Amino acid sequence: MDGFLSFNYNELTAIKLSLKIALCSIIVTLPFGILCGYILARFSFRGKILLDSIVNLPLILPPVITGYLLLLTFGKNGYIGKYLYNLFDISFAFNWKGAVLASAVVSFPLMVRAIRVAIEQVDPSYEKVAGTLGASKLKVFFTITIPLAMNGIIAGTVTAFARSLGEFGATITFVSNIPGKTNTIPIEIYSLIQNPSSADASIIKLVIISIVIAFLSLILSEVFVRKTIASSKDR
Amino acid sequence: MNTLDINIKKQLGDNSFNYKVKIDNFNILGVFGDSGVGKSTFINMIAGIIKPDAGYIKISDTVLFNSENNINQPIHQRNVGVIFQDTKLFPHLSVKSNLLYGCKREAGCRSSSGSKNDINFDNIISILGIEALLDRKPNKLSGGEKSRVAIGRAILSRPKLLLMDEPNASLDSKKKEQLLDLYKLMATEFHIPTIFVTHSKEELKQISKQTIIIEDYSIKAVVQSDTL
Repeated sequence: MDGFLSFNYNELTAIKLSLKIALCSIIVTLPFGILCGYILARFSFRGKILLDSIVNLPLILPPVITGYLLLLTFGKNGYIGKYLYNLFDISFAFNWKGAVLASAVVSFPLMVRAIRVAIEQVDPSYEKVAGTLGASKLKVFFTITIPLAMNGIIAGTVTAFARSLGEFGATITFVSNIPGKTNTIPIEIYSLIQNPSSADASIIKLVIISIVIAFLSLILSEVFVRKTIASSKDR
Repeated sequence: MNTLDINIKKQLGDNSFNYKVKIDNFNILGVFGDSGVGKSTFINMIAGIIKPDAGYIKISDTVLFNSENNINQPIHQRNVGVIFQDTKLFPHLSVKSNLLYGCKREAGCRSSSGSKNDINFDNIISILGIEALLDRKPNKLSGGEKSRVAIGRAILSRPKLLLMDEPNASLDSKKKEQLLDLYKLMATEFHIPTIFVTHSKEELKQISKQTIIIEDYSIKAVVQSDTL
């Protein structure tokens, strides 16, 4: 029998794939998450509730529906997918990029929520003072708003990362379960459970790995949330 | 010479703000009024933080706002420095970075023509006596030290006009007096026309010759400060 810390090829592939997909997912969503959090925190406009609802929709929608909608939109024959495929040869169907897209959509609301709260806590008078010192809106955004909201941005990113690692429903619906391409840790666990001949040890290992990663992420995120609270008391 | 020429209107909720004043040749101009009569709104409209509904704001030859010609210079192009009640030093930056924030180029603030009324970093920190604080974060400063850094930061951005909105509100009276002398020194030494807002007559007698009196959201009179 394998030692606990040695992984077979399938387990290792699933772990690596999960980390790669979750990492790509937060890299892709972070700029949009910051922009969206900033807009929701700092502006009031017609349709704000609508934007807020659309962003948060994947949080409450059954993941299978999110996955199905992605299939309709970004599948090879989807409304947007067919243009991406025909014009740029980009395809999300049944590959890891599709899994990134599914993870991104599902984890986006968690990221935006944390960033929005962090930006709301930044006292707007700092931004005004920076303006009176000659800083353009863009300079103010990058030198005042973002640094002061940084702990919340990190907390949101870590939470989104953890959520991406756990993503199952939308991913399996959108890009299915293809060994080496889309079988992330949760999907690999699911197929092992489906197969009566598979070894329990494999499942347990992947379960423990998942718990450890999720736990570390939550602790990390909590550390940054506390830092945010402490530094806002300092001001 | 320094001229302040303002005629603006603003409706905020049930309150109509109405400011009309023209003052020539001032160095430090006081603004007096009880709390809630519209002193800060006056300051915020000059700074560009609140947009008037109609009228004009002219500082010497520069038009900051004119509703007839659709001129409304954005805050960051007005070159009007503001010091707020609670200093608002950037909490994530060191004192030094706070001071240099408004410098167009750091080298510009560093260079010196050798003259003692030159606005440059070394001159300013030595007059303000804040050389020892440069590496600290704002949360490690006392109230008086924060005020000094705030004035240094505003002056290093080389404003055409400096607005001070009750900068002493949170300090004890001994510190207040020292700071008032310092503000006076800075405004005269560096030739920066300054508008100083307060609800304390004593402060105005010490710092300004002329004072604008604001009551009920409009300018009631301009008087000699010592007659207050």
